[in-house]
Amino acid sequence: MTRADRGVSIALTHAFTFAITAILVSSLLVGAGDLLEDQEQRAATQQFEEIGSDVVSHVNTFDRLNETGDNVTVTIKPTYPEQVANRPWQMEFADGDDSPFETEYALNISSDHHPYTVQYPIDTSNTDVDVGERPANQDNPTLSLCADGTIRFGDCS
Amino acid sequence: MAMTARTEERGQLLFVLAIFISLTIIGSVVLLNAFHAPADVGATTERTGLDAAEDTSQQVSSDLHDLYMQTATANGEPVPVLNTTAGEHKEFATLVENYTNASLATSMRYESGLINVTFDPEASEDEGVVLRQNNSAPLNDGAGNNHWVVVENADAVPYVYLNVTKVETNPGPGGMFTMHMNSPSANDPDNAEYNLTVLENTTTTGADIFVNGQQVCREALAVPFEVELTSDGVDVGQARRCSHGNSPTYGSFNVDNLNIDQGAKRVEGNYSVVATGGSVTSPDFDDSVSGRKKLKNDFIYNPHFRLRYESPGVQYQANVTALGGG
Repeated sequence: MTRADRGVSIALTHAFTFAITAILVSSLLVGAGDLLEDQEQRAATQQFEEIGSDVVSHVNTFDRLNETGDNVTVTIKPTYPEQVANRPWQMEFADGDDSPFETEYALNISSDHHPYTVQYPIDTSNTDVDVGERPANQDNPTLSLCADGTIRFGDCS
Repeated sequence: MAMTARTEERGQLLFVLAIFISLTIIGSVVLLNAFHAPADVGATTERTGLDAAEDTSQQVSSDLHDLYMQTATANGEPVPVLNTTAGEHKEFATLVENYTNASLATSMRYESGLINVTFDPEASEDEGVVLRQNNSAPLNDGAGNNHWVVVENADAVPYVYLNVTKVETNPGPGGMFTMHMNSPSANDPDNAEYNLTVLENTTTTGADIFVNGQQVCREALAVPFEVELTSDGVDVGQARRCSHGNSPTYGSFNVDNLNIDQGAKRVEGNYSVVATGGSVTSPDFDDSVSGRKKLKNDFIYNPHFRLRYESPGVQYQANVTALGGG
């Protein structure tokens, strides 16, 4: 091997080093991106479930409280995260016919950055639910049981 | 020197790559950690408050029911009604206020919620009637047997509904008069109390009357006044009135004193009343007034309360009814 060949070998070594490093880093970034995307969806679903179960729990309690007397009114203002998986989100009461459940009502929680809507069944026996209502503030919604036996987001008018 | 320079360049290159890879890994970890953080659901206060409101409302309802049943009386007997004319509802309101204060003190000590209970007599008015099931028995015989029934809707209870449509007057001494009663469809059944008032000429007193060795009339009229109630020709009740005195007396002959029983139940139907004996003259009654067998209607039954519970996360209000029974 001549000295000239040794010089070429060093250049090739550097080239291969850069190439392999670039491939590794690119793979890492692509892999991390996919992983983050997947984990973001799973984390969002998990947090939606926490919020949804809490809202449904309140609705069920309202339904029971409505049986404790006449013209029952209850108002609470729970606190939820402003963003879910670093994304804005929204929730609303919906008709149960538009859900996979056999209940009269459902709670829909969704985000514009997630391809699906998470739904929860709402089964009330003593109250009605104001369908289509969205809270003004998702992170601090007002949930009310009104004297007419209706559960809604917002104050009773 | 050249070899040393290349070694330093390679070291710098590796150092930069190491930092780059480290930052990538750290960034991924940070993002993953952020995504996996649980949702900040700050509803513990509301959950606790709702549970407390539910428990409080049930407890208060139970307490008010017990307080009401222990307090309410009618004619001095324990009946779950509050006599409005005697002002019992005001005394009861004071008891409720005291209960509120006691409950408030307890809740302030053990919970963070505030309780306020207000007795609402206005909303409780006209909430049913008290009916005697057995007119000959006291309301409560003291042995736990209640001879009354409290009903929220009096129309749902079978009753004898009397409406006088015809009366033969001035039958003369020893004569008789006949009243025809039927089932009207109008008038004011909830507020009427029918009394048939007849004028008895009792200037002549007679001796005591015994039936089967038992005295049934003392210093009775020469001819005791009797009322017989028939339905479709069948006797369904009768009563005898004994009286004495030296001057004409108005005897209030209340149809409620008749033991009206047709087939062991009281029914609405067509009845006729035949009064015989005595010196019966102009029955003094208003034939536009009808009646039912009702004890009284100025009672408060099923009293209403306004319950308010407030905690830092919950506002609860309800109108609670302490059911009186029935």
